[in-house]
Order: sequence, then C-alpha cells, then structure tokens
Amino acid sequence: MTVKTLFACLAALTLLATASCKKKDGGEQAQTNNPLATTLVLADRSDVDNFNPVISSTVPGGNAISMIYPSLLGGTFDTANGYLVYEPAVAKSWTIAPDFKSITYNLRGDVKWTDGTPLTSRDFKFSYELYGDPIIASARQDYLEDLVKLRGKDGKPTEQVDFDKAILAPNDTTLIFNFEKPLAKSVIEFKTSLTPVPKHVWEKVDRKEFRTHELNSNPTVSCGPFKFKEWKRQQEFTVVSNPDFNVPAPAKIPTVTMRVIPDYTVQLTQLKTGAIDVMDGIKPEDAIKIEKENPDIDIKIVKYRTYSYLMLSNIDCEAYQNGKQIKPHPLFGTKKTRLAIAMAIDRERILDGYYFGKYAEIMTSPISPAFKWAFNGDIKPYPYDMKRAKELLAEDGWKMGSDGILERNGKKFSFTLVISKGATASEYMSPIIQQSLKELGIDCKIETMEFNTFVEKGRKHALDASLNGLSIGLEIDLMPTFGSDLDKAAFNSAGYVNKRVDELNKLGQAKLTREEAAPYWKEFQKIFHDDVPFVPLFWGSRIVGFNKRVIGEKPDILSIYTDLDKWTLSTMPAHAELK
Amino acid sequence: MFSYVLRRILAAIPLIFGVLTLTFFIIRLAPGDPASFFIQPGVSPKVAEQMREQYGLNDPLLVQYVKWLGNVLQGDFGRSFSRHRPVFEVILEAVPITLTLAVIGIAMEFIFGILLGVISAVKQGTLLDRSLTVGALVIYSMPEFWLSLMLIIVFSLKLGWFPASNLNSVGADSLDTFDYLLDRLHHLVLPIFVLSLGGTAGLARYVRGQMLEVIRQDYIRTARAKGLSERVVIFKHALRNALLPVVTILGASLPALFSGALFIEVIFAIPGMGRITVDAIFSRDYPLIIANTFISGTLIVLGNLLADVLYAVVDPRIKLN
Repeated sequence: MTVKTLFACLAALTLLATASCKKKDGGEQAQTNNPLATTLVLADRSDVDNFNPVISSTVPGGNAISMIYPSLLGGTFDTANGYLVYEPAVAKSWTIAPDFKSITYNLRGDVKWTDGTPLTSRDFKFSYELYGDPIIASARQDYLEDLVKLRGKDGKPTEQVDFDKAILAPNDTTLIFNFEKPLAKSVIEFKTSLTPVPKHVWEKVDRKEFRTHELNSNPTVSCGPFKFKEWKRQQEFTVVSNPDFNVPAPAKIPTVTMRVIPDYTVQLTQLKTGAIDVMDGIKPEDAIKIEKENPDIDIKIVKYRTYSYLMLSNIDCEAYQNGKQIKPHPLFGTKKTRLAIAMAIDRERILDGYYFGKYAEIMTSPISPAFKWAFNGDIKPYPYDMKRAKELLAEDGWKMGSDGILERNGKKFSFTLVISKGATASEYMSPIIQQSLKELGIDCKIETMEFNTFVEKGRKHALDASLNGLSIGLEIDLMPTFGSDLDKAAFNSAGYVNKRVDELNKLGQAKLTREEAAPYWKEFQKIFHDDVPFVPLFWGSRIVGFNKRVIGEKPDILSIYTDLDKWTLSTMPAHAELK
Repeated sequence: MFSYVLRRILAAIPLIFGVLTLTFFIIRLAPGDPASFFIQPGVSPKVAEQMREQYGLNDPLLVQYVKWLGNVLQGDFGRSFSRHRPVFEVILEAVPITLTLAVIGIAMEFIFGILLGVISAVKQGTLLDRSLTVGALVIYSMPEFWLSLMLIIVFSLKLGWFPASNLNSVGADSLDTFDYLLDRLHHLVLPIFVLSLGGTAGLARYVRGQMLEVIRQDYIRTARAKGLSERVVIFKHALRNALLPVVTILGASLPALFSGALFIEVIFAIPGMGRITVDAIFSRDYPLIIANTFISGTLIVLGNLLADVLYAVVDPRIKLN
C-alpha cells in the first residue's frame, strides 16, 4: 500500500511537471487563447491596503487607485525645468484668481462613473469633506490645511475647514476652492488634485464605518482607464480596461493583474522566467547581471527620488530622553567633527563597489537635483580627504589616546552605528564607514535592528548614529526633515535645530513663483553644506525591470506606472487592444 | 476518560488566559505601535494621533487591558488594526489555505517517513541504511528558506517545471474545475516538498529507532519461528507496535496544521496563517497577534491532550488518570 502510494505520488508529480512543460510550449503559439498574452502582470512585495483614495496610505494601494479613479488634473514631470506640469483631465480648464487665493475649475460634463452616474463637481466637494473628517483620519488631510477655515468667536480662523465657503460647486461643471492666504500656482494645483470618490455611493455610509466598509475592498463604482474586477487578499488584484472611459480613453491593455510576492529573490526569478512583467526595486548587483544575461528584460532607472545619509545625532540623546533637553551631542555635537566624518567617507569607492558607478549619484544636498530650478549646483560634494579630516578633529579638541582611539575630556570617541535589517546598501556601506573611521581613531560598532524598532528609535532620538534612507515629496517642504520643532519633525532624527532653516521654509513656500522661491531653497542648501546636519551619501536610482513584451513604459519620478493606460503588450493580438 | 478530558480542558482555560495576558503586555513593550505605520513621508502627521485615539491606544495600559478582557470574555477579539476587519474574518480566510498545505504536508511526512524508517531498520547497518541516516541528517539540518530558494532556482528558473510562487497561475479562474485544481496542485508541489522534507527525515529516524527496538522483541522471534514471511513479520507484527508512539506525534502536529509555515508561506507567496502572523507582528497589529496566539495556544493544549488520549487508546497499558 505504502509503496503504491509512493509510486502514485511520483506519477502525479511527473504528470504535473509534464503538464507545465506542455503549457509553456503551447503558450508561445496560442496567443489568442492564452489569457497571459493580453494580461500585464505586475508584482509588489506587499498587498493593497484598500481601494479607497481617501484612506489608502500604501504604495500598492496608491498604484491600484490611480488605475481605477479619475483625476481632476493630469500631471507630467517636466525634466528640462524640474517641476510638475499639470494638464487637463476631468477639468477642461482652470483659472487662478489674481490674488492667488482661489482657483476655479471648469469640468468636462461628459464623464461618468461605471454605474452611469455623471461625475460632477459635487463628487469633488463631497470627497474633500471626507478627506478633512478627523473620524476618517485620511492620510492626505494636510492637503486641506490652507482652505478657508471656520471662524471662532474672536473672528479668527479655527483649525476646522469651513466647507461651505472653502469649496463651492455652484453647478455640475464648476468647482471653486478658496484659500486662507495666497499660495503659489503649483501649490494650489497640487492641493486641489485629490482623487474623488462617488458621492452617490459613499454619502449613504456612516462616517464611523467608513474605514471598515465593504466598498473599500470592492469598489464596484469607479471611473478610470481600468475598472476593478477582483481582489484576492494577499494574493493578487485584477483590473480590466474600462471601455466607457473618456479621459482621454480606455486602457489599451485588456487586463492588469498585480501579484503579491513578498520575497525579493522569488520576485526576481519570476521576472526572469517571464511570470511577471515588471519588477521594481531591483538591486544594483542583479541589474548588472540582468543587463548581461537576460536579453528579454529591459532595465530602466528613475533618478533623484530617494537618498541615503549617515545620521549623526546633533543632540545629546540621553538629555533629550530626559525631559527633551536640547544639548549638543558629546561626540557629534559640533560641525567640525561631523564634517571630519563626512570627509573620511570614500563615496567613490561605495559608488563603484555597490552601485557599479551607474545606479546612484553622490549627493550634495537634500534638495533633489531633479528640481532644477531649486537645486544649488554650486555646492560640491565633500571631498574624500583623510588628512583634512584628522586636522578638523584635532581642531575640535580630539586627541589620540594610548589605545589608538580619540578622546576628549576623558571621553572616548566610540559609538554604535545602527542599520536597519534587510537594508542591503547599508549592510554594504557600514563596514566601509567603520574602516574609514578606524583610520581616524574612531571606534565604531555596527548594530542591525528590526525595521520598526529602528524607525521608532530614530524618531525618538534614541540613536547616536544610523544609516538612513528617505524618499522625497514632489513639493519642497523642509519641515519634516529639518524643522526645529522636534516633536513635529518626524524625520529629523539627527535633532538638527536651526531657526533660519524654519524661516527659509516659510519664505520659500510663501512665494508665488518658483523664481521668487528658488533663492531661499538655494540658501538652505548652502547652510546644509556648512552645518552638516547629517552626512549626505547618495541619490540612489530606482531600478525597474520590464519584460520586453511591454511597450510604451516610461517610468519617471512620479511613478513607474506613468501612462499605464497607454502601454501595450507585443503578445496582444491586434483586436485585443481596446480603442 | 471523559472526566480526565474535562479536567484537562478546565485546567487549560486559566493557562490560555495567562498566555494571552502575557502576550497582551509583551507586545506592547515592543518599540512602535500600530499607529507608527502612519508616520511616513507623504502622510499627514496628524493621522498617527487620530488613529491612536481610535484604536484606544491613548488609554492607560490597565484600562486597555480591562476593556480588552471584557471584549474577549464576550468572544470579541476585535478588529485587525492593519486590515480593518474582524480578526477572525482575517484568520478564517487564511486557515483553509494553511490547512490544505499542512494536511498534504503531514500526509507526505508520514507516508515517506514511515516507509524510509522501516527500510532503514530492516536494512540496519547496510550502505542503504547509512546513506539514509546521513541523508536524513543533512536534510533535517537544512534551513527551510535556503532549501526553498535553491528549489526555486533549480525547478523554476533553470528547468521551468514548477511555478515559484502564488497559489494559481494568472487567469486560472477561467479554467474548468479539474484544470484549476491541477494548476493549484502544480503550484503547491515545491512548498509541500519543502514543508514535508524536514519532518520526513525526522520521522524516518524516529520510526527506525522504534522498529529496531520492536524487532528485538520475543514476539517477533516467535512470529519468525512460526514460519511467517518476513513481509508479514515486519508490516503486521513489528510496524504496528513500532507505530504506537508515532501516533502521538499526530497529536503534536495539530498546532502546525493551523499556525502555518512561516518561511515557506512568505517565500512562496502563500497567504496562509504564517504570513498573517508575520505581517501582524511587523505592523504591531495587537488584536490579530492576540487572536493568533489564542488559536495556536489552544491548539497546543488540545494537541497535547489528543496525544495523551491517543496514547491511551492505542496502548492498553497506559491508563489516564
């Protein structure tokens, strides 16, 4: 019996293996019958959180939403000048009031939700009310912070938006936003571009049940180049082209499936076998191999959206833990010491070794070089100069101890550099940094920490030094990373405090044109270079692999799925393309 | 027997509550909380605080505990913070997947483990026995994630025989039931292979030891003296007795049936209990972590009870008391 079972199992396995081989051979020629020929298969490490633009706060969620929901304005990133340019979408045209305190949109009247109900200005107004509701706690509620506010008894604006005055929808195709103060044109366009949800569907839902409502996982009424088909949680979601979409047209690829594949190596294998068409976040070492060995895969890079840096706490962590006192850090509290460390790191070596000289660029300041109008090109990277680094440390009072470790006032220059678990670039860089610091007479230990703990400790200023990465927004805002109010500046883990930077941020954001704002951002970069709040390392490129059957892809700083509705597949039979 | 089982179950209740209480406090000691997820670039800074308020995390710890205890006593384990659905709904979705994987895995483990154990014992000291012993040790000490990746590279990337991840192919919904099941099985071959390999090796060693002990017994000599064929002696007389302790291992496998195979589910992108547990821990999803602990804790207690009861059922010398 047991022997029989063994043979039965072996036979079954053989049968399965043969079946798979058959399928593979057949797949090539029978393009018309094979659903894969007309399905674009994407992959992500984690699942969509929900399909509701008001509450989604994950990247996969955002990607899914952009496929099935409309937007007031379309956007492309003007790489020549370095800013976002808005184009008509649901809005045909728009005018900004001369006082820069109001914008009026003129909407197309012929756009419909998938259930046939017209999309009107009231959908937008209603959606903004949802975005602003504290019970719903939308991740994008700060888009509303400049809208006209309710007045208190003293006549001063309160925290709450006065929706009756801030957003007006006098008829189906007119939508007006009013602001408390004049804002730059780009800021007005950015802050009024939140994705709408259908009013006629969501107005029946109690706000308390909004986050848990079934429609969040089954968006039956939508209005985008694709429409929702199915979500198998933690496995995949599928959207299909929406034949009725007219802003500007239905998606050309009939079906798109996004699969959840948490493991990096498995995802890479799937890209190589053709089981998935697109993979984001390929490591430089794998990209190099793919370029050599996999002619069926195109490697594309997107620059200047994320940077890495060596965080050296400016403030004494212990003093901050005990009653939030701001005192200089005993080791990294002075500019000279931080500058010395910056000059002791051989970035070129890391660039060549980890990034193969082409998947990153040495960073000079946290303003992205993509924002050409604001980027200060006069600033040059800190040179790799061990001699000068040693001089700087000596000038700052550090003397070599008998054990070869620097000391000052009896305190040894010894610290722990913390890196996040699984951050391969940090794993590569940390021993090189450790070695360089050893040459200076600095004792640096390396500790790896679980990601959540790493982030939490960084935010609470409990780490002396760490290797961090940060992704930037498309509008410049220095406050989250450099704001002096450490309670509010969630990413200022170095505890950098400089009132002039706060001022510059205010001044830069208050200017109505980029030309007027640019000098403030450039001044900030000069200050950054002089103060060394942290040691800038690299602008890492996002590396994306595309199966060559994908046509029309053009990943940019906005998204790797830019213009997904216009992509096609070379395996698609001509009639499958929906026009 | 009945009173014994009842007593054991009653004794388990405070034990499980103790475990849940410990979990409740220990998980809150870990840095970060579920609302930390909302502190990220591009998310309004107010959200974390609003969510903390909604999750009731601003209450003092003892108040949170009392509220939680009240709900649990009414059978309400709450809603998952990360998935915004009742925790048992999340778990119920994952259990069938984990169960399929585990049942097939355990079946394979027992079939091949017993078979190889018997062969090894019968051929004791031969080259075959030694190779099986060494092979079992090598397999037993191989890390699951490494083996999984190696198998994926060989069978998926190089040979293209089996898919590397997920439960079905893209577009499998359009297949008829038989083809759909075949497609599902095809996807499960590699994960089940890894899942059962370690257990098979362990079980084979266990069965071999038991068999060797039994083969030396007088009743086996008697059976041989009666002129019975070696096959009957081994399979009818020896194996039956050697399997007595093995049966209890079934009881111990019960928690594994539901708790899921952590690494395998993550690597092969299978949305079972293992992945839910890992995700819940990383996102500090307290209600989901506690519900998972409740399920695995209960199953461990029940599994042990089942093992004891089974032992008494199959071996009349054991009396439950």
